[in-house]
Amino acid sequence: MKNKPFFTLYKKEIMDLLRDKKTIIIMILVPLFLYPTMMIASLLITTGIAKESIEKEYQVAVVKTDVSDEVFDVLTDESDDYDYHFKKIEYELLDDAKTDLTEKKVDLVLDSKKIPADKSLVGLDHLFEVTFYDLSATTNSMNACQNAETVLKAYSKNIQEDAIRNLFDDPEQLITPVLVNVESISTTEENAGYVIGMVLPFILIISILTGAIYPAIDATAGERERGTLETIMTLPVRKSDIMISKFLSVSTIAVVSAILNIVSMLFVVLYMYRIIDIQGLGLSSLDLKQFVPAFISLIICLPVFSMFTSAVCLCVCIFAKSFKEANNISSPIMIVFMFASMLSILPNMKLTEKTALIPVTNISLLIKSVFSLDYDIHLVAIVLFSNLFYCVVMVVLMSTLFSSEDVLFGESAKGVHIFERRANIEKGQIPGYGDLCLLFAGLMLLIVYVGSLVTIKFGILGSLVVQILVFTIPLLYAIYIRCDLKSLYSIKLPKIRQALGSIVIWAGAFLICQTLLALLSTLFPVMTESSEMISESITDAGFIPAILVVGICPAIAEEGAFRGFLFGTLKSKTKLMIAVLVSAAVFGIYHMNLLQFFTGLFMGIVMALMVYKSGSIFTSVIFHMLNNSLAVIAEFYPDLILKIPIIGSAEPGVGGYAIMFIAGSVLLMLGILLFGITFRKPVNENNTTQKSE
Amino acid sequence: MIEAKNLRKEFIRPVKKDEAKTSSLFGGKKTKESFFAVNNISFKAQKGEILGILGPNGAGKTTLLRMLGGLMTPSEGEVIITDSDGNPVTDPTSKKKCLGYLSNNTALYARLSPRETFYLFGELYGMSREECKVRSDEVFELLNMQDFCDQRIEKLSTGQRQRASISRCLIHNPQIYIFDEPTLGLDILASETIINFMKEEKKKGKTVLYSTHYMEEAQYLCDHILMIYEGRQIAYGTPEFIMQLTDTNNLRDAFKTLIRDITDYSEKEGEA
Repeated sequence: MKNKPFFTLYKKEIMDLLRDKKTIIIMILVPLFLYPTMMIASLLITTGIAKESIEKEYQVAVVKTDVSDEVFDVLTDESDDYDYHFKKIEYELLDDAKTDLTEKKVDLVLDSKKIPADKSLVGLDHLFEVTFYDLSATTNSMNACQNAETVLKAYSKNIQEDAIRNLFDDPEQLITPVLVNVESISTTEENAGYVIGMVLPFILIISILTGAIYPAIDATAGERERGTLETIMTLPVRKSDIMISKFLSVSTIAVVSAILNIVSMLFVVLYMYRIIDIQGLGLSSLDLKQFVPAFISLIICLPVFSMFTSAVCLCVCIFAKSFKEANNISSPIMIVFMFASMLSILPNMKLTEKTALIPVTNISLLIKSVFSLDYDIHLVAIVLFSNLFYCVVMVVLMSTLFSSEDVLFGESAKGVHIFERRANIEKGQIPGYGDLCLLFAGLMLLIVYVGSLVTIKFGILGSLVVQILVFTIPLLYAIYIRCDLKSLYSIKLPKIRQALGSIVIWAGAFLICQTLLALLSTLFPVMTESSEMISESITDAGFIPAILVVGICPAIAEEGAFRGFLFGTLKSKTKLMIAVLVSAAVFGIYHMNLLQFFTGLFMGIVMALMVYKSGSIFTSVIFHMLNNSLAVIAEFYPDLILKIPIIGSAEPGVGGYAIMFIAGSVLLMLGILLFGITFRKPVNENNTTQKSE
Repeated sequence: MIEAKNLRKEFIRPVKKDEAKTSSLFGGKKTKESFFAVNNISFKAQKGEILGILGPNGAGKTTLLRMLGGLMTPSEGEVIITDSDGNPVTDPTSKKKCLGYLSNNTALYARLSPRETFYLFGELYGMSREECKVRSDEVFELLNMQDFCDQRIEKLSTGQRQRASISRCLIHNPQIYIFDEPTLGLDILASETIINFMKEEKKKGKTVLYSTHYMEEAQYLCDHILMIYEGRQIAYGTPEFIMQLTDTNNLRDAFKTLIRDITDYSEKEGEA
């Protein structure tokens, strides 16, 4: 029953949209009639023009010389093979002919000169040199010149071949020294798919967009202009229901219009095959079964894409106060979408792991690849999920916009803002789940794309930049929404016992982690290599910078982001265990490595609990610092580590690991005891008896 | 019953040109400033009462009514609504179920007929198909709209549309009506329909809040008057009380006197 208002609203939206003649025209008439007519017409026109340019008789101004008649005869004789037609008009003077050419009375001027020939070589008394004058800016003149040139070159080649044949008995090898054969073994399906894959993406994307844009304008700016937006706000329904119903009805229309487009395209293609036979694409021999997976993946991805498109359109159109304004501000979307979908036509663009993340282009490339029967389920999944992700981002943005009174009522429309003004935010806010998701998803993307780039380019400095980003982005956000930073980040000096405790706990956790790693690397042997990649840039930098950038900075940056911002938010919103697990899991994912995911998860759990129990982030900073610094020391002074029994040895063996595990557990317990003296009750956040700076 | 407690609403507006020269802290021109469109307004409207909200254009009437109708959230203060049994309603969507809101900006979907609108909205108010049918027949008869209730709204005349709009407010038989300038731009007959309707509903024990520019209409219709100017409450009481206060014999003069007093006062303050 809870969903009922939503369905009623959806019904209303669809009813309202479908009764609008303009929607019907855009949704049904345009795809079913306009596109086919346009395509067939353009096809007929182009074939017509091509035919005409061949059959046309070109006017050639022949300047009279002693060989001009001979040259023109050669031209007309040889032209029979090509089906070219030339008409001779004689001129006495070259200049007159040129004047007539510029006045377009003739298409081409032919000037010739007699050249004496070596009869023993070419077998002719004389040869000639021909000069053509054309107007290269005029199509007719250009074609005439090209045709005449082709003919005379062929004639020249014939003379050459005849001469060679006269000189040698079997000269074929000399005439064609290298024989090039091209045979296409691609199937008709592949050929047909390639052609479809070139054209279809563009048309489909644009048709989905036009299908979405009009209803989106109608549902936002249109409703505002007609004054119905306020009416619907008086109803006892949540804004989110209104928004989602609008969103889904716009997407429905976009999908329907896309399907109609596909159907009409199909008929056009069938018709085209009938009237002209495109080279070797016999439709009769086409095995449509091969396209079934292509269609299935299209059917799965297109609705998601239409939803994304609808959300984009709604987000833009909601700012407009009237239909006209909405039309104006949505035209840039059209341009961007067109450009992005055209990218797939570029010959070297292929669906890869990177291009699969570019919105719009990825759908375009997907259509291209599935129809060329060259696709990878893995990439289809990436396209699907990246579109889903963009769609969610747009919907979140849309709901923010939709709940903004400024946007809805346009009271102070000049000051429209996506984010709440800082002055409006009360002090002591806690970030919401939506903001958390967006923030950390954005952070991950930033690390994957920007992070890997700067680390490769600037080495150790690059990783410093990444850490600064990781630290500052959540911090700035927290400052913006006026969080109580002290309680969010658990800023408080730990008791000495707790500080000591965190060192002991680290030692224990580290040992357990080593056994965990050993266990994991037997389970996933392939994964071990990647963790060693970083070490090169570290050793180049020297010990002190390495300790700073790898040992100390990440401890502060990552603790601030994960134990401070993320865990701090979650612990005040949900149960402790969920907060600990989620923050640790995100910390694990952040490492982008399967092995480190598990160690990160484990360490994350331990550190989050430490922060919770002590109420001080510095305990986990100490922990993290020790952990990272040890890795740096091991890199610079491997001998030092090797001296330590068991841990230092390269192959501790099962026994060694067992000892490590037991020792680790003992240390962990010891640390907990050190900590645990304050275990009685969780530390009260408001307790300000112990202040930090 | 509906009660407003210290309602305030903050907006942002561009600074007037001559004032824009004053520079802000960082030396840049301050182009926007925040102001209260509604500033500290409180009142209480009981069952069977018509409360008139009067004020010049831009006084904040529409914003006030939007906050009362739950369309906007107040920056400060609260709106308290109690149902017919006197129990307070707290949930925002349930609050809207107690209210019938009508303003110049609440148009109907032009491509639907009044009946379709009625059914769809009725469903959203949680009514069953049968309830909707019974109620729609009742309301269409009351407002005398049987002739055009199945035509698309885009084809109706202004008066017919206004009646359709009122029928939309009546769907869920609310206890409280909020009308924002309901008689604006209507002819005498059409506005009489609305005034009679308000009187009828008052007799049934409903609460009516309405804003208007027509002083005579308010004087004769309202039990209480709330006058606002630049977002502030300048007078609140029975029409007689306000006339007494200003020593006038009609609301039009009372209104002028009150506003003149305020402008005089603020000018003097400005000079000093």
